[in-house]
Amino acid sequence: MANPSCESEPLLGNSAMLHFVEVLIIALMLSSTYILIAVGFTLFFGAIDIIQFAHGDVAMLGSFVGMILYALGHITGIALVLPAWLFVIGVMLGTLVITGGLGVLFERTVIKPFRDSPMLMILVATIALGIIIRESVRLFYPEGSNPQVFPRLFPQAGFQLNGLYFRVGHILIFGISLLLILTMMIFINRTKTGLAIRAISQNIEAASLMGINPDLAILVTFFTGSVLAGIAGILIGSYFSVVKFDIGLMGGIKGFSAAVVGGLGNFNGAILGGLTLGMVETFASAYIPGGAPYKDVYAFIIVVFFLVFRPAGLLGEKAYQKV
Amino acid sequence: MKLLKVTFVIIAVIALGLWGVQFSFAAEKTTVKIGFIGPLTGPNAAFGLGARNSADLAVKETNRRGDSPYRYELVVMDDASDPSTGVAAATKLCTIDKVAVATTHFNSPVGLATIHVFHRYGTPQMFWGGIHPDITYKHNYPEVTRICANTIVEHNQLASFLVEKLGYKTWSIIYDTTSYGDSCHKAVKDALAKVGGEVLSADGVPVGTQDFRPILSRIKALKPGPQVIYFGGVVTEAALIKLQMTEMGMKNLLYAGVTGFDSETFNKTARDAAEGTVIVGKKAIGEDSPFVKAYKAEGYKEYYEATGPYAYDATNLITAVINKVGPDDKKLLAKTIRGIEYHGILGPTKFDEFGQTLTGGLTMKVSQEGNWVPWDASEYSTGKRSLPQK
Repeated sequence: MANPSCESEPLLGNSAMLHFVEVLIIALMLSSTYILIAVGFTLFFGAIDIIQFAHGDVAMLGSFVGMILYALGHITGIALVLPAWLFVIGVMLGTLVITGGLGVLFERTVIKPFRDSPMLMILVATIALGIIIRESVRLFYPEGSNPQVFPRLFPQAGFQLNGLYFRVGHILIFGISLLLILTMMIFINRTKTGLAIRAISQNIEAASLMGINPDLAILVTFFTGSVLAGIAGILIGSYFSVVKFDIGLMGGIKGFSAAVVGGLGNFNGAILGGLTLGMVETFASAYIPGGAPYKDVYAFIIVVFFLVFRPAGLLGEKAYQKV
Repeated sequence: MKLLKVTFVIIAVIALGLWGVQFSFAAEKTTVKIGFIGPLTGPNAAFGLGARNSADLAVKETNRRGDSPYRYELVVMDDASDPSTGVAAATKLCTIDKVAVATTHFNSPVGLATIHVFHRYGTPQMFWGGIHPDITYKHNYPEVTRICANTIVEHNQLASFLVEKLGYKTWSIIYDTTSYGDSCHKAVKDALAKVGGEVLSADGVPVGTQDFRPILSRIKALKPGPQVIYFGGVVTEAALIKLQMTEMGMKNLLYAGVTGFDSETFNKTARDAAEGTVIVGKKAIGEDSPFVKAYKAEGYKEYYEATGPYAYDATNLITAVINKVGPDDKKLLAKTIRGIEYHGILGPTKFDEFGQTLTGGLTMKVSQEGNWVPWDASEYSTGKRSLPQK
């Protein structure tokens, strides 16, 4: 297809730099949503060697739980009594607890029964779980098939700095993502519970002989992973303004791919993988003329590249066993 | 004598009874099924539901009037804006329900898939939505007619209004990569070329894209930059683009489109960012028109949307033709539909040799305080409000 944009003047000097920085910011925002989902995948894989394919749908549930809580707050009048920021924090905390709880419930009902079965069983079970979650939202949420306008949780104000436009809401979204990722790193690497999770990920029998309750550690893993997904759901909803019952499908695949690129099971790898995917997608859309329709293609070419040439990912420790 | 009286009464009662039976036989009209397909779920559900209700209203009114030799029944199917669902729905209407005529589709890709089904079964199909030129022009199936304007007509009107009347000459185009978006892209380029507009960039995006910021950032960096960002696509993406334009400080660019986002959903989704968007919209029907009054009186839950009047006129046109030539001879039905000159709420409707209406009315609209307002009635035309760069 002829692309007329090629015919326009080349980008020059300051304006080109400005464009680059703007695209970089956009890419960072997108990457942070991928990272929040990728971390869950990597946690579950690290802890008990499973791939929870419904994890993207848990993130979608986060968006919808957030919307329901927001609406309930307005119906009951709580939103009017509380200061706006406190209400938003309340909605986020509520969402976090509910999605975390749902994550644990899914683990107990769908994943635990298959813990000693071949990996393929869990794969199929979690794919089925994802379909159940998606379809339930579609059928039971009012007009669930349609895109839903996400409430404005964060301030809409913006400001201009050196020709770049910033939204206070977006800075908050990015800040919260960063904070969550850092907290998660500290939690995994510096706390006793984190140590327990890392221990069962290395050898579940040896860890239980050392007095670690594997059931509890797995429960904590699923709770934290799902909490992150739930928050990711709220942040995605706020950033894109619209959510739909099936956003978890692509979100999950992207999050999973990010984890694979970084090295499944490696926490820093998930961050690196999320960044890689978000950057490739955004820069391809912004810089390759006519590249926007193929942004997912570029992203998944990277994934295939890693699977073929570096199956352990950027920072992966576990060698992949082909099934 | 008494016996005679009793006999007379008995005979009279029997006669009356028989007459009554005969009368009720006469009242038992043949039921004729008319098919309706549209997106009742999915991203364009608002358009589909508004059209469905309007078609339903037309059927109810015809049945209530009682001047038709038939009783009509509307068989409603959902295509969910998805071609394969649409084909399944069309096949069911043609084979199981055996509808006489169907009025169909908001989405062009769905219509481009189902025209073959209706053609195979010889069932006349009238489009109330779906504006891709190929629907009527490519195969020219005798069964297909369309009561709304196509992309070529819409874009000519948009380009002439914005370029010639308001002086917005340089454009950046974004379009979705469906056949609908592609046809918009082609039509807008051709229309701009005709009136001396200039296309500075064109980007395709897959339907379902949520992040338009990378493309918008590129448009922002163009030197010289465009005066207009045009989107050829449907409502959700359309609203997201306007939201993200506003977030990125691109308030000085005019945002324009065609009937694909002539829906209140656009204003609801883009919220305050929607202000000042200009589109060529479906024909505006006055709030005090008999159609709107009847629609409201019927108590439908959903708004009739821009598509409602088209589905209403299509259904009325179909029943008028069936009343005239009967429901059984499909070939005759298709031929009569194409030859008719019908006067409905859209004004006069007449089809060309491709089954494309020559008269499907359009109205320039602008988003003002969260509503689509006809340009001539807006504060933008009086100068109270002003569009970007004006």
